[in-house]
Amino acid sequence: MKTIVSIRNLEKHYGPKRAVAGISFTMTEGEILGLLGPNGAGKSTTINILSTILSPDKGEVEIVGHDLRKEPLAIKQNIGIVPQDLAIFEEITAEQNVRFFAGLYKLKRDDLDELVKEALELVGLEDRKKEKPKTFSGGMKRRLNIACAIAHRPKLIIMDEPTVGIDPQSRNHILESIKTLREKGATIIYSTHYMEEVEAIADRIMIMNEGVIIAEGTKEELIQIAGNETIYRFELNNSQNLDEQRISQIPGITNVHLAENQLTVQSEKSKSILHAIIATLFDNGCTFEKMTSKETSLETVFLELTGKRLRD
Amino acid sequence: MRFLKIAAFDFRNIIRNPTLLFSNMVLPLVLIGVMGFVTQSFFGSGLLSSYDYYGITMITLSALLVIMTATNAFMEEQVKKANIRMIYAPIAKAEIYLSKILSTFLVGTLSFIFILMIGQYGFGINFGGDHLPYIVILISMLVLFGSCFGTMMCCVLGDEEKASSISQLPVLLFSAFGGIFFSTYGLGKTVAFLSNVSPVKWIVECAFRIIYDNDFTLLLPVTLSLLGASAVCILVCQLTFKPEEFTC
Amino acid sequence: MLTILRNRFLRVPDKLYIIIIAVVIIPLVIGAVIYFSGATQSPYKIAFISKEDAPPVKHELIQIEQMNERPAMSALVMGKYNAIVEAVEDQKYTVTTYKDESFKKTIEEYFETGKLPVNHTTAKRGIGTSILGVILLIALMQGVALTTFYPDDRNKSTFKRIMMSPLTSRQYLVAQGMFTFSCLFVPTYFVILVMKICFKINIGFGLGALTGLLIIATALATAFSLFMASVMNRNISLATSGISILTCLLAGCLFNYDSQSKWLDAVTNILPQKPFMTLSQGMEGGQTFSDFPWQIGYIVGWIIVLWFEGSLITKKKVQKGIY
Repeated sequence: MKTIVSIRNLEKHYGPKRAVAGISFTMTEGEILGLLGPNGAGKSTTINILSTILSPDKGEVEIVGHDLRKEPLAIKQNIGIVPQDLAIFEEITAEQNVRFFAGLYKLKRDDLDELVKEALELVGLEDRKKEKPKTFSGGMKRRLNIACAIAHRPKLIIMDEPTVGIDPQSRNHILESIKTLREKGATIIYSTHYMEEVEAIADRIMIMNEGVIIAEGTKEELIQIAGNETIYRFELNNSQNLDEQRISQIPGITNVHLAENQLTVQSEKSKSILHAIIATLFDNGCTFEKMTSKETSLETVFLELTGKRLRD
Repeated sequence: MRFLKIAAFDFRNIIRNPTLLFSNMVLPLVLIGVMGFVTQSFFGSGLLSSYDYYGITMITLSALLVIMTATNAFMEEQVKKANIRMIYAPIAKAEIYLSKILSTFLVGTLSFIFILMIGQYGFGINFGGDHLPYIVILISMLVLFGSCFGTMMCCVLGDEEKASSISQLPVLLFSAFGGIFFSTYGLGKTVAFLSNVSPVKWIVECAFRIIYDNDFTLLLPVTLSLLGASAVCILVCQLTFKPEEFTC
Repeated sequence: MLTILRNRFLRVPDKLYIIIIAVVIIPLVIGAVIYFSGATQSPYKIAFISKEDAPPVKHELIQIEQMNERPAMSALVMGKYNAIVEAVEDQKYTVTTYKDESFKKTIEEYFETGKLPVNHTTAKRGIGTSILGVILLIALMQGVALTTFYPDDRNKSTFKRIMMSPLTSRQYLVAQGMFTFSCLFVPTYFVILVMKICFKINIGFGLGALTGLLIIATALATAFSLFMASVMNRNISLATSGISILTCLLAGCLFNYDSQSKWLDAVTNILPQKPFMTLSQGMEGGQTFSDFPWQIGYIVGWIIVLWFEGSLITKKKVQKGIY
């Protein structure tokens, strides 16, 4: 597989503050990398450096085989950025918007029509291309925002929270288009606050916090880091006869905790042991009103690693 | 009470904006200084200096330019959304624009009182001597009109940029024909007619009559017309200001 | 760059005031200036106070109104009369005027001798130079309004997006400059051409000289507005208008004045408007561009400095990630 992005020891300071503190990673062609992190984690700084508008203090960056410091123009030609802000012109039509931004790249005039059409089709705005974005809904503007970044067929697409504040339908449409882009061979960096989006499309996930990468891997690998487990909670009607020892002896149970008729049992996720726990409870003469179970999710991983909720 | 709170808040916003403060307090003085200096040699010594002439005309022009302060206070990009947001509060829509008018009027009047005082007592410009209070009344009425007009343009056009660039046109035309920059007498009948139509001419003439002839005949009609014109502007505000159009 | 330029023009219909400036303000002002400058020198109006005597003299340049009482002083201030003349005794008159001493002397002499002194008019500036002075002021003031897409793009973060494409900030500014320049130059040139060719109004210059001078004026205004738009973030047009009016007044774009202060002379001599006025005055007097290498060089120097500073500041701001 061809390496599209290669970053080594990237650093960027704002005064005494280290926005990016020596990160390294690589991406291969056709990969979708989900970039997660709380606000101020250094995601936007990293994205701005990759898009060549911010120069790094230290480190090496190579994109599509070009060195960031030596050939920024060659890099620009090969990347497409979907900015977090709606960077589109409200006063000209959707098509003119896409044509304008595509026109900033070195493209053949004959290809331009085709590329503009392709981009508008991909985001589902082909039938509204003659209208001005002023009249668009939030979701449509977001989609146009994406179309403007992809018309020149960039090899690397960087999306900075492209789905902020839109309806679920538009979001699904956007996620579908991203998958289509990947099928066409694009490599994508996808920064977001929405865990479910990353789970849905990313091949690999990277979590940043305070300027460093604190975890990286597939969804399964990350869940493994946080201890892949299932937690069961029982609200017992009576617990005076319950012997906690007997439950913790069940193979696969890692922890048992009982307090005021609330029983919490932690177990390894892969083991199916719910029936064993329930059988033991009945044996001890315990009945229960309610039972919940929770598996480790990306959200838990994130919370555990950063100490912050994602949308804080 | 609530209305006064909004107005006080707007007042603070205006005086915290260095550009607005500069254009209201310093620019008129600079204009008088430069125009006076540049035209010094056209005026004889003694009776009337270039500073006396351009003191009145430039203050009239600057007072009219309060329109810019009004449009800025109401719909400048950084304050527009917050201003419009007030419609969600339980207040009448009139309170929103009236507070802009009041705050702009206060800032304008205070700064022109300051300028007139400085001019007369600091730089020895003839602003009427003992008749200065009447000139203050005249100018403050003009400031009131400017505040109402600027706010009205915002209500009608819904955009600061448009409002201020379009208002500049009549201001400059009326000023030119009103004799702000040069005397318009002896330029033919068309100009004489246009000059008589220009409200600026009457304000300037009213001021000069007070200062040089102790003649107050124009003061009442001019102030009343300005008040009337302001009332019309406010009426237009009430009719055209549709805050719901700004929400999205 | 052509893409940027086309983008500017596509967005014009939504910016009403750009059209207003180009189509209404510029032609209007130029028309007004030509009208005012073209009017034959208006006669001086004199209020002659006398119970019986008819005015002793007559002259086409002096219009005398005889009256019994002194007119209001404000009429004198407003310029309704240029002077009040009272007969003191036979052949002796007192002249009250707000105009300068030499004017007073002129009128006195006229009433006493019945003749105007030979050098009664000061050397008047040519009509073409007056027009160009005003055009330079208007161009400097309105240039920024025609550059509005640039700060607009920054506010809407479309500028940041453009900077992420292979386009450099310098190329962007060149395109923006071309837009501003053409919006300033074309309507101005057009109006003057119409005046000159269709209405046969004497503009004072030949076509070639006029084109050259207009190019210099609009190029200067373009560089200045790009510079201002790069330096400032808010209230750009307010600041630009202020600076333009003050510097143009001081440089004598609107009317000639004799400065009595060396210090002020030193300051105004720095301004690029001054050599421009010298240049157009000279051209109107029949000289050619080659007679003013210093003046032209100095203005071009200003254009280059403003342009480079503007693009340097923009480049720095982009690198710092301000936009």
